[in-house]
Amino acid sequence: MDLENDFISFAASLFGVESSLISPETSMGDIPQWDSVMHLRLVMETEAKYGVSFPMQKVLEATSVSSIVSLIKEQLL
Amino acid sequence: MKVALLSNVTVSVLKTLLSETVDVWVPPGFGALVETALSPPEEMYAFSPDIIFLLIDRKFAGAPSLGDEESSLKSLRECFPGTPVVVPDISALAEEIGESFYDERMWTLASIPWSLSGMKEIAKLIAPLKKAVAVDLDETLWKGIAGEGKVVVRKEFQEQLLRLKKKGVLLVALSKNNEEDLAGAWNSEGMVLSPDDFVAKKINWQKKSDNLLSVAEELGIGVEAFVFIDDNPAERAEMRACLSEVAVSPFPPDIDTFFPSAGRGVMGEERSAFYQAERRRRETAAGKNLDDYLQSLEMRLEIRELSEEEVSRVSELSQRSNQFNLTTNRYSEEEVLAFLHDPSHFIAVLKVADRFGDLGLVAFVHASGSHIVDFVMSCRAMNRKLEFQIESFVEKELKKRGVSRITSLWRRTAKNAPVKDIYERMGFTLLSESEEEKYYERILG
Repeated sequence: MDLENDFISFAASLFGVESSLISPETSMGDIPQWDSVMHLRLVMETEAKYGVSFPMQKVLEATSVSSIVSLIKEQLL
Repeated sequence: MKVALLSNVTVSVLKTLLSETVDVWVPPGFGALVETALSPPEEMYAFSPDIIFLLIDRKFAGAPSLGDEESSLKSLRECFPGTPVVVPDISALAEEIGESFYDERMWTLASIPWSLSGMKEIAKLIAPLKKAVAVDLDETLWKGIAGEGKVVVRKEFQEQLLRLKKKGVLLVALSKNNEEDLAGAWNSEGMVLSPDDFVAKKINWQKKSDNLLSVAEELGIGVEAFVFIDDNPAERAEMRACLSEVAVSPFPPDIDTFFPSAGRGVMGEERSAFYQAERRRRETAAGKNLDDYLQSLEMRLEIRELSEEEVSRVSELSQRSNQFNLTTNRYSEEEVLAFLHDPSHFIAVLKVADRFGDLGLVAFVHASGSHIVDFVMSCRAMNRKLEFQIESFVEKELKKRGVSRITSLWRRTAKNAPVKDIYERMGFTLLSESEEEKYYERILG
């Protein structure tokens, strides 16, 4: 599975929704489960799962699947 | 299980972690711990928590003063009788976990001081309820090493474990030892626990996490139901690293944090009776106006002069009540006892029961000569118009003592605005008023 799909299924299980509800374009607020509180949880869980660390500014900016995935890629490369 | 979580920092993310296993109620607003504790909002009563946690973190946030913490505890105990109020030792946990407990970014962004792993550790303290204690022997259950001379029993700790066992908590011994060296230790003077008190014992030289895992399988309970107690930091670190679901206690252990309700079994019954009665009262109140509701409660009042057995309850009320407390003087038992024995003082008490239950002693009025010094009512009994009843009793009694004019005072505190105009409503005449105080008189006809 590529990173994007892996992240989508990870986020879907955190939010307790079907993976099909989440696409690379999905952003915070697009589904009710992804609110500002769960966004912080998503960031922290993502850091723990992928062994990355988001700079403070990015925690607030990276609020879509694609932006989070590119942040993970940046750090893993 | 229903958990109310009051904190001086933001617990929204922690709440999402806890919500997977327990029902969580968090007051609205940031850091509303003291505020909420001193005058619990209606929603908190409606939630009827099984347990209340005060999560106080002093790393970044302005933590409540010790005095505020103490008043918060007292107020919650008054408003939620029988409900355990637990203050976990977050700084001990932080010290145990080290730097990774905190996340300065999250503090800056969201007023959350903790990292994800920090919150997971806190969540373990709060839920789920633990079922078993896995405890080390040498230097933990007793001081000294079995097989190397005499050991000294840690009596208080063992008594705590025995009490837990009687409440149904499973005890497990995990010790790196030789079985034959232990016999002498178990027979030491003053030993409280015996080997039979342990549902399982693993006495060997294997990793303690492996031993705990196999005990959990034998007993058919999850490892997350275990609390692990060991004096050796290396063993605690090993358990944490290998079985992260196990709650690892700091040492010396604070067991009440892990078994908040087990330690207070009797009060648990008191709590359920209280909530059950409250729920029925709520159902009865639905759709009725206040007077009809009060009528339907069929209240039975007992109003009379304070007697000696009630001194401690009156002192407790003076210390625990914040909303209906006209002057907020806090009294020790000795002080109340002194009033009782001083003929120039008069204290009236009010007890109430209704068709749903007994609320006990819920109000007192304290007069010195002709002046009403204190007028205090428990949060359990507010909004029942009981203040009028006890006040008219006090008037009658003072009149019998030859008083023809009484005076009284309201003194502002952070919490007693709801009773700001209570003396006006009782027909007292306002003599003087400032921002901080209102002074009244009433001529007895």
